[in-house]
Amino acid sequence: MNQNREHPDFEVISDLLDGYLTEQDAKVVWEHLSVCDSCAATHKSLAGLVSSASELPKSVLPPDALWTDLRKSLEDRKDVVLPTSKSVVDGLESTDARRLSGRMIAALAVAALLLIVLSSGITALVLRNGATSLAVRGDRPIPAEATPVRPGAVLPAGFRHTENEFNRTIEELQLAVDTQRGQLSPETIRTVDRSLAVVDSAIAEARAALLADPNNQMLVDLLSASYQRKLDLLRRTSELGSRT
Amino acid sequence: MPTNLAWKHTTDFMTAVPPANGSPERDDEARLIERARSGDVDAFEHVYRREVGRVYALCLRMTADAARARELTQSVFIRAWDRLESFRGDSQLSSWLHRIAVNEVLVEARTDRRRRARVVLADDRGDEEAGAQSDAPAEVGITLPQDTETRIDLERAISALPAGARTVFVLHDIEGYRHEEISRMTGSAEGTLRAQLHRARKLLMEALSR
Repeated sequence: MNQNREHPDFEVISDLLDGYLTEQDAKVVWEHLSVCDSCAATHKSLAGLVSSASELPKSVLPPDALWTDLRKSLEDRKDVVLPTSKSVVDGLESTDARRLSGRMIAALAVAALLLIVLSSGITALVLRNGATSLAVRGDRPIPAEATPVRPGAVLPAGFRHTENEFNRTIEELQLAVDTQRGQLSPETIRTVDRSLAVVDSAIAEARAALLADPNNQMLVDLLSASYQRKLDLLRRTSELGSRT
Repeated sequence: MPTNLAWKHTTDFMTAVPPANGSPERDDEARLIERARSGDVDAFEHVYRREVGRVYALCLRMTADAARARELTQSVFIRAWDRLESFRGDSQLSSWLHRIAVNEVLVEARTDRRRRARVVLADDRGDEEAGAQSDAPAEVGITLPQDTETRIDLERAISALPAGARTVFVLHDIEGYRHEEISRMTGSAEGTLRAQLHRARKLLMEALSR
């Protein structure tokens, strides 16, 4: 941009406002704005928008009932133990340099395999009277699509919050594991990935079954157990990664 | 788009000066946290009442969905309750909670995207971000302060932004985070974030000029 007659792009004006242009580029744009009413108007509008946004209230109160629900959750949680970020961070900060043992890798895989066999079996049992017969084909889990789910099906309201909790914790642990992949051997990574894929299939299967039969408490328990298994696998992998 | 959109403001927050270490307010906060750490839910309620407005505002703006914002706000305070032991008190409680809130919303958005990608592959709903456009935040029964119409127009336009652009706009232009901070939080490159911000600003200017 070396001439005042060339209209700067919107992005350039936006960068100018945020101070991301070099001094020289900013000078050129300012000179253009001083002679171009159209671009000056864009700049003025944009500055107004940014100013208005920064002045929006930073506080918006939710409905009062939120605290009532939250209080109940907090009191219910006294007996619930989910891994917290602190434990993840503690694991990451561990300086213990023990090598990952083959036995532990195998344990991860075996645990995952056991889970899929058990969960598929239980799901098949639970849905025995349903339209779809579920089974395990070799070591491959049946995909979630095997269970018919009616359009608009939703999980039980009480379980949705629990599932969100599981997913957030899983996401954190997954991030921790992802950052440690470079410290694990390719064999370990393959084993872990296979195990996680198996558990993910178990979760997908149990979830699809629960969507098809949302009042079935056994499926709620099964899905919870599957999520818990994934948490355990990720947590153990994270701990192992921090030790290598 | 709902027409009953309204925002309940507590503007004192915007002009509040952070309490200094050793100030009565900070000491009071420390005592509340100490009690909450020992399992005192009443003490935690005081913390909640002080901070929930800012947490909820962030969740509401980033999700453009009042129901999800309420769920996320709950999750943020549950997380905070679980992690009180790790709060050392060398930063402000509000900043600490705000970080948890940003993380909760981002994690939830990623999880939601992954789940939808898995489950709704065959569902021809078009742009997944378009869903946000029908979910403008809505609260009812609130008296509107002066100049609220302008604010509502802006809030409504923000809520109609595509999710990615909305996230960056809320964090950068409303919450005041810099691109490098947002990059650390989201894992996105700064160039990508700048492009999203430009997109958001352009869309907002178009929406507000109609």
